[in-house]
Amino acid sequence: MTRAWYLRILVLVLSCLVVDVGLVMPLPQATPAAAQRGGTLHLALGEDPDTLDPHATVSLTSSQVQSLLYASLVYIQSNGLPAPLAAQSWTISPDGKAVTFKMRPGLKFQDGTPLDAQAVEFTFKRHMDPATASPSTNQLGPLSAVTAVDNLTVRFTFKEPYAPFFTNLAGSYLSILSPTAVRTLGKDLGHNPAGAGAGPFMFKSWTPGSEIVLARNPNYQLGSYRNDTQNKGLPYVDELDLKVVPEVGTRIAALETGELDVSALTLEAVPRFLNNPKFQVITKKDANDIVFVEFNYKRAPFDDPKFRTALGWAIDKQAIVRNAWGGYATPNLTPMPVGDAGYDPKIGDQYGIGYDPKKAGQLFDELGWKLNPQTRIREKDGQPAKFTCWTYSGFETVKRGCEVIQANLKDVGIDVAVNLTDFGTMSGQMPKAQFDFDLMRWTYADPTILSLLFKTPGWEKLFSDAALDAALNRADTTLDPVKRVQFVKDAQVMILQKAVIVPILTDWLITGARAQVQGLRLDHFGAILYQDVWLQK
Amino acid sequence: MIAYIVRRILFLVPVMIGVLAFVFLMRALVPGDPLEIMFLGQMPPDQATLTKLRHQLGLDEPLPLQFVDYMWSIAHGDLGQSVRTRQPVTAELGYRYRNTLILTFGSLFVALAVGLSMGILAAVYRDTPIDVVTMMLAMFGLSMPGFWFGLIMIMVFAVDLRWLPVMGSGGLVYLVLPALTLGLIASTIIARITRSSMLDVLSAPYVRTARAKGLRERVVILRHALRNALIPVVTILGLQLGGLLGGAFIIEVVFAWHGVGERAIQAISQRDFPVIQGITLVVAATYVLVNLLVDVLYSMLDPRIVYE
Repeated sequence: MTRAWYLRILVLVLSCLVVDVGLVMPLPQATPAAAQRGGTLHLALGEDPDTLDPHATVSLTSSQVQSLLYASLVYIQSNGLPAPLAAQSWTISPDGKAVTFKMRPGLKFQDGTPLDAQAVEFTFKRHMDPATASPSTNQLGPLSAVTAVDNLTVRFTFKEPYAPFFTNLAGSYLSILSPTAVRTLGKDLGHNPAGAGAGPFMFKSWTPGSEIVLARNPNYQLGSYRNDTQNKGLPYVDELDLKVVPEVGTRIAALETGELDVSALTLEAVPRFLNNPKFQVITKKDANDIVFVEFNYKRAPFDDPKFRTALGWAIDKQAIVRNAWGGYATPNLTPMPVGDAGYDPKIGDQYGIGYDPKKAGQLFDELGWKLNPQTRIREKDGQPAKFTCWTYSGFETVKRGCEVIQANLKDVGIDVAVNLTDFGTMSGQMPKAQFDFDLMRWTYADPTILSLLFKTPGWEKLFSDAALDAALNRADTTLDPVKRVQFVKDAQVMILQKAVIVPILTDWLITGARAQVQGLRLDHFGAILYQDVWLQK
Repeated sequence: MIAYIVRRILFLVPVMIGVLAFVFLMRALVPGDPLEIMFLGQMPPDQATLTKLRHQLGLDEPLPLQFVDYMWSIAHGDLGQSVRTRQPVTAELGYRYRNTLILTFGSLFVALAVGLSMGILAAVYRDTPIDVVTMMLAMFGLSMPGFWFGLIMIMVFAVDLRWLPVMGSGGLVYLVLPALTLGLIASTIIARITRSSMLDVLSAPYVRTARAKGLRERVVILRHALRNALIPVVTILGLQLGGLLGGAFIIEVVFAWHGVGERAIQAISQRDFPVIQGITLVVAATYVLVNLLVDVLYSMLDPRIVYE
């Protein structure tokens, strides 16, 4: 079968996948053509990174570049659980307060110096040092000491067990730095981190505000240790050219003209690429995001779980998936993103708040919110049920979701105004409790997302529930993966029973690429595994 | 004249202080804290880290004190450092200001070339189809949102025709699309002003005299009429230049043109106040200086205007 034909069929299969949302179909295996080495992959960054020093930033864009330069002790497999990378193995002490990593022998940084236990100790000491003033120290949790026991053994000691540590360890903020490079580069580490990492790509150049160029690390040693990549050797492409392109419409146009090879797609752009043999579209459905309705817990009637539940039953989740996300999302009645460890659709079926406007109306009646037949709006003690749904600008999907909710609630006699504002303004207003409820979207690749959102005082700084805090603490301090997942599930049930939020969906990650780009695969975090990518000449 | 210019430049100081006081006032009114926004969707930092960061960035002082500190630094040529990149604002804005100026003058060139020719044509062929069509085009351009027009230009000239690249900065080829977008939009006002100003002048007695002398029509229009018709155009041009610097904000983002505007939009969404202040300062100073330049141009175009 010729390549063109194969592509046509691929496109066909992909379009079937998209039309029939409920259909689970394995992606076709790539033709076993030999991967070709060489070429430059042109990619886009949404903004100029702030710094490439992993200890000096919490920017996701910077993290994107850093994760290519630096290597981590562990990586997260597609099932959400950790596996060794620069480390060979680890053991956990019975009380869960000490994790001891055995390093792989003979590993080297890009500057040729050894990546050993001493380097790990140096890196984490630098991170914890108050003089570094790292904004990401909370990723370390209750870490109290890091000690190199010998050349290849390093022990992490915690004040109390800390389960999210492994996911954090796999991220770029906790990747390992070459002590020699850090000392020689000094302040330059942030903008010219040559040789400082052990990742698959090396820093080549950075034109501030414009582009960053990375080159293949010719001595990359960790390729064979990941089970989510197919290429076990050196990266295939010579260089990655990362251009700063803030506007998504521009990125997509540049993908169409071939100025970019790969780009995330907006829903509106998908059809143009789906039906075009020059392009491919890949979707990741087990993404790490969750879209939900959250409330102002300090303002009546949203302080009442029963009112929140009633509101939840009035919202048609399928309609939001269909009309706001064009079908590119999975309805999700649990508070956990579909791609995170601990997601279980059965929890949603059993405890979730589905769509049943009759039930919603009944609950509202019981609460004393009676329909006024003249205005068609419910009232209680002479107060009409008029509320505001907040949402933030820049995301058409979230805005349209708010509009569906507005229509849904109108059907049950609740009058909703939509207030669209920029994210900074919205998040600034929140702790002051100056709103009713809002439609929110969060992304986090570890089950501790529940703690980030709901542990007192909650991310809104308005929520507190001692029983839920205890449940979340149990999950966060249990290092055994199986037990942790069970505790995470208990917490989810609690969140649904108290109607803390009304979960709606997990949307899919949609990536478009030119047909010449081969071997596109995403890791657990939804990042492209550039290790595998090659360009067909 | 020199004294006048010096006086105008000195006038910059109170203007800048006023503008910056206004920006600081906005800081007190606009919700959103730079550090809170930085940590959105992330593990929240503990209070100690937050306090330390706040202190390092000087965000823990009362706003009036920050204002005084800031003024003091400016007097020493220091615009502070970005909350995010921790780079000096002067270093970040240097190359970006150059890029913005290139784009501004590129679009000004387009605006003048297109706007003047359209205006002159419409005036000379008054009430003919040429007049109607040019003025309709001008109306269309005036009412178009720049952001949308930019994306349309990309779709037509970059995606469909493949004549020009979608984005980037560096060579002249990257300048064409953004400069055309901004310039065409700006040209519409220039066209309308030129037309009405030319119509006034064309009915003036000295134009009739010039024609009566037997001068060729081209000389009458270009040398006698146009020069006198230009004064209102120059006024508008000064305002347009300010508008171009401001309008360039969105267009820079659309074309990934790495100028001051692109950075401003990023800084505003991040509440990166030192960068916002730096950009406000630079743009306001440019605006004031451009208007000074316009006033000087008046006296060159019309020797009767004298400044004292």
